[in-house]
Amino acid sequence: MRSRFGVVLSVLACVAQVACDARVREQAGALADSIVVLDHAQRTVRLDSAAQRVISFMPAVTDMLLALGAQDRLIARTAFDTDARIAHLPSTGNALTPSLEWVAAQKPDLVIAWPDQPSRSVVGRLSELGVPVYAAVTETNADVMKTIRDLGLLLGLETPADSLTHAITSQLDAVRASVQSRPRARVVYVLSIEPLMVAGPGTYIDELIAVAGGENVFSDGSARWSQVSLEELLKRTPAAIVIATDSGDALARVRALPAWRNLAAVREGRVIGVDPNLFNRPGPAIPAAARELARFLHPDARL
Amino acid sequence: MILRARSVGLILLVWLALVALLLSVAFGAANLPISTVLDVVLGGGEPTERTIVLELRMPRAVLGLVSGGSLAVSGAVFQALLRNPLAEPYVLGISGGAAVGAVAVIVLGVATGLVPVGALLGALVAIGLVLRIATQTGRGLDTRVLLLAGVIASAFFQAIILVLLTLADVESFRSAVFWMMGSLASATWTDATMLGLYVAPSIVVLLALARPLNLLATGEETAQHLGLNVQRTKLVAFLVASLLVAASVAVCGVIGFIGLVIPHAIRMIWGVDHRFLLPASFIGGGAFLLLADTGARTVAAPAELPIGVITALIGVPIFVVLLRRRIA
Repeated sequence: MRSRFGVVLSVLACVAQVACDARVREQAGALADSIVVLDHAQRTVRLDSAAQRVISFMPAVTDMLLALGAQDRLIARTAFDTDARIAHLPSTGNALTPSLEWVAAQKPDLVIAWPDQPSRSVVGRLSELGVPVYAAVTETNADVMKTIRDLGLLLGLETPADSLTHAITSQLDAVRASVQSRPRARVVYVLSIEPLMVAGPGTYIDELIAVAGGENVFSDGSARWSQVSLEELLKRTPAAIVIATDSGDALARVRALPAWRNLAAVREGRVIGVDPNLFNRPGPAIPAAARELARFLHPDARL
Repeated sequence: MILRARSVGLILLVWLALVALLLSVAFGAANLPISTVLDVVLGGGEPTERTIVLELRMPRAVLGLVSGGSLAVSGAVFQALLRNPLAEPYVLGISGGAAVGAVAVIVLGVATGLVPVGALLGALVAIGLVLRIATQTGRGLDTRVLLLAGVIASAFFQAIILVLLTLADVESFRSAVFWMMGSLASATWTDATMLGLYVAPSIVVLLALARPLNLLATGEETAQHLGLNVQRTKLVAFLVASLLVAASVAVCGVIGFIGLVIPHAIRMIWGVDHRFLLPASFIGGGAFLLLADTGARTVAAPAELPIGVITALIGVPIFVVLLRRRIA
């Protein structure tokens, strides 16, 4: 019985290997062949050759492109992309309402955008105009990994993409290993204090908290990012609070708020303000975010 | 004398609209030289340039002209009908109803393409509701009751929108707020043609109502004595103007200010005769929205500003100047 199962497994592995080899040969052998990728909105993105003129409307994806060494292929940035390597590029502003005609005029051979929302249709309109668009989602670590791998294919940078995903995985594993034996700390990730918005299930933050040896008190929330009442927060008794803020001392801020003072975490000073530019950009920086969380939750752990 | 001033005015407005049309096709975030734009219009140009001029700028210009005109005309009609200078296309709760429909589609995540349908349905429900409240309470169609019903319906819709937004996740929230800001950005030829086909007959009906609206302005009783079917006039004017706003809101979202200010500006310059006011409002409103949109597209390029920002920033100073000149 056991051996038959083994045979099935090895046959499957063989098939997978052959399929994999075929794909690799296809990529390596015939450069003239087009590159085909299925994006996060289940659309087929087809390029004749590796993209050379790229516009990204997603700061997190811009970070990935920079980490892949593709800064020279970017032809625009958003107001949030302040990296010195691309600061000279024209800015498309908040990236939510780009000028379609400006984008078309730049003749990009790849645009990366959020999937279309009902009230705006960047992906749809640009595709109609013949511009290849990759719709990206970066909600979970798996999304981030898929995006990096797809970018590697679309830009012909498979090797850097491979090393980047491996680096991220191994760094996350290292953080996980260093805090594994410790008791899990109950933690809440506060995206904004007023209104009170927290990270829920299905977010990379939820995953990073777990990696860093914590337990997200809103893991059972109803949405990825949800607005919750202060009462709900008090009820869930977080032992530590992480606040995304770039303005001053987070602890002093919540100490000044009447209801927050009653939280044990606030009384004991277990509050940390984290850089939104690091934590709210699910890209190559997620291991750094995980390390910062782990250091906060387990100050005595060796990282 | 008045007649002459008005024909000059109408010619002036038509010229303004043509200039606005030319500007909006000639200028944009992509700095195409005028010669290139001309080349494209004459059938030349390379594919990208053709796309920019023919598929992005032109449908957007036509849509701006038609929806700006519709909003201004219906504003003029509502001001006459309700005999209230503060009346504007959205005063009777149409924008609120449309927003409830659109936001509901966005938040419930039904399907991307259904937002205009949701908005149109919402607007129609609002029109029906307001009309029902108004006709059931007053004797006939009492415009004071109509106005009250509209204001109350607006408040009710606002509450529903707030509930929906509270339940929304971050992405839908952002999406809904975008919709409510109003925009011509996603204009396609289909949008422009459909709105145009819908607006043309409505405008004809409203133009035919110009003389009855003039009579109505003298007071309902006087108009009645002069042989006007007051009830029917009011009902038709209300319904047609409302449907006009509903269509515009469904395609472009809520674009404020034009419906309030353009008719007033035209009245201040050329007087209150609806036979002139209505066509002049249509052309003036279209031209103004088009100019504002050209501004919104180019000022912060390659990003775009919300169109409401430009309509108010340009419109308010002009309006204040007109107001002061009139008082002086």
